[in-house]
Amino acid sequence: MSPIAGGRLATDHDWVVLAHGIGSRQDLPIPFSYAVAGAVVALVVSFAALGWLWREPRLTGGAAGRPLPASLQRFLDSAGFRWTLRILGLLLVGFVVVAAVFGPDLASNPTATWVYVLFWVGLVPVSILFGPVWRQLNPLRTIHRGIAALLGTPPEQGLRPLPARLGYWPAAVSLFAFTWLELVASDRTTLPVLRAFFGLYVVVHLTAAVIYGSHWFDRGDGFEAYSSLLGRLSPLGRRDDGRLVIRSPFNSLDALAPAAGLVATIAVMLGSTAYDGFSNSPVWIKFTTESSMSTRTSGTLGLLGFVLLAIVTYSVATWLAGVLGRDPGTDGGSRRGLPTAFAHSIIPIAAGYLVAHYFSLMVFEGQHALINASDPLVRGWNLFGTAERGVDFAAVSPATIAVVQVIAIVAGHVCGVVAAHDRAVRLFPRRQAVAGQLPLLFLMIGYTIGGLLLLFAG
Amino acid sequence: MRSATRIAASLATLITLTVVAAACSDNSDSQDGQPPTPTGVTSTQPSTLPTSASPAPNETVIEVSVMDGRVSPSPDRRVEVSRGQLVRIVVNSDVADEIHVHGYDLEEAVDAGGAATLEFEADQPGAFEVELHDQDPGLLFTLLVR
Repeated sequence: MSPIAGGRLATDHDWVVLAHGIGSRQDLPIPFSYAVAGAVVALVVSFAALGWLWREPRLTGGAAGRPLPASLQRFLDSAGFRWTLRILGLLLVGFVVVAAVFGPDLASNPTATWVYVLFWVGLVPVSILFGPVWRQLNPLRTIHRGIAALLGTPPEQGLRPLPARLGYWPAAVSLFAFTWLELVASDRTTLPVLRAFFGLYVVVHLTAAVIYGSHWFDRGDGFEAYSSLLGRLSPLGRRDDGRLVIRSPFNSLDALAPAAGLVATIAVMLGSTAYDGFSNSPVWIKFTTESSMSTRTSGTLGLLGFVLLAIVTYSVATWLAGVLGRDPGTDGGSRRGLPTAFAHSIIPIAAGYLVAHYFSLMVFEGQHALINASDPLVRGWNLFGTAERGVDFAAVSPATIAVVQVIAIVAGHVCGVVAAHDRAVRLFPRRQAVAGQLPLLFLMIGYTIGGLLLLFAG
Repeated sequence: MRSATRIAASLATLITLTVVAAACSDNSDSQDGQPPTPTGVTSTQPSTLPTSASPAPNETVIEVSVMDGRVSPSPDRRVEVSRGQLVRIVVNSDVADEIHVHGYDLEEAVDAGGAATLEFEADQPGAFEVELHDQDPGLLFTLLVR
């Protein structure tokens, strides 16, 4: 029996093998009746939306929103407030870096829970509430600002212009790399692995930012793109005229500018979460135990497979939408931009998946992160007075978790349908608008029923 | 845009009502339905008299064996127990390794050709993997505590 210190594992290898990305507890499968109820609501809403929702486009995107009071905007846009956020970002990340570099590689080192839970999962609710927060906190941006100051150039200016055709592709790759670390890599919670990954991350993104200027981070840094895309669901937004506004998230989604790699980035968000659920299902476990592949190989293929599945199903649906919704009088040349034109409508669905899969992890492992934070170097400190606390596993019941999961998936679906509807009535001629919406509607129903099945069987 | 918000709000209400209705109806289902007893799991009857060697009343015994790198019964099985139940896991293995019950953070070493027993009260709801540390993949089974 290995040493168990204070009820927590203290072996120095493979400690707390974190099955669900991190966290050793997984959610119980949702009851079948919940899955059915969710699917029925999704179906009813989808087809009701076709008949009931508006026939003329109503969303005004970047032009929409009720401005915040001018004094509040002055404060939020002030250099003082921006620097407060930058310093907060530096302090939070600096804290984790100290624990990761100077702390021992033990289960009670807070690094892994801070990276995988407070940062990665915590970015979801914070971005949905407040918008693209990581853009403000990102310590790489601040460090790059310092480098630019030393070089005597404005941060936006790099050595060469950022090629527009790159779009979100670097973010898609960087997000995929992180989800691979989270869900597939062996020893992903150990300090050497985390230090290697983030060491490489810092070098790659700082170098790219020096070459292309700080705009690199907008669509190159996976975490910023993740936070910004989820931030489209926030009631806070910035209007085209620069005013900070309160507006319907549908307008913020509508205002998302199309770009290369956008579909791939959203597909990584959706596909990685789906793979996370699927990798716990008996079907996948049976497959991996019977196959001769290592878990790393099968995990890599599984993750890649789910991301590609999301890209392919979405591309086929938008291609069909273009065929069915096209005005017979035109040559259909405008169809080429269709895949990106509907990408924003998948964001709420991806967000629903994320909330459903990570809600309980946030609640339970988030407590672990705060408890371990009091003793970052595992020396018996109690910096924040939380060190002696235990995780309260009664914080939310399995029934509550199941209800949150189903509501998140179905609500994501409903928002996706509404966002896609408005885009369809704008892009397609009136007579073809209903037919043009059908492929995307079936795609969304598929994603939603798939998401519910993963919760039921995964 | 106001109507979009109104529609979204009424849809949210509809979802909530449906899920809550499902939640209410489900409670009665799950109490009637006995979870199926998978192979390799022995549920002792409360009437069994406890002796020093035999399991305590209401204890679920889960047996697993690991031979030539194969786990039997197949590791994709899920063993359901009720919250508060005593669980005894008996692992026979032809390799020396460490057995780990996730979430409960219990560990027990097993010798090559030996057996290891872990006993605990399943007081925390959720799904928990039980696995061997040094195998790839090392999953033995998943414990569902409802």
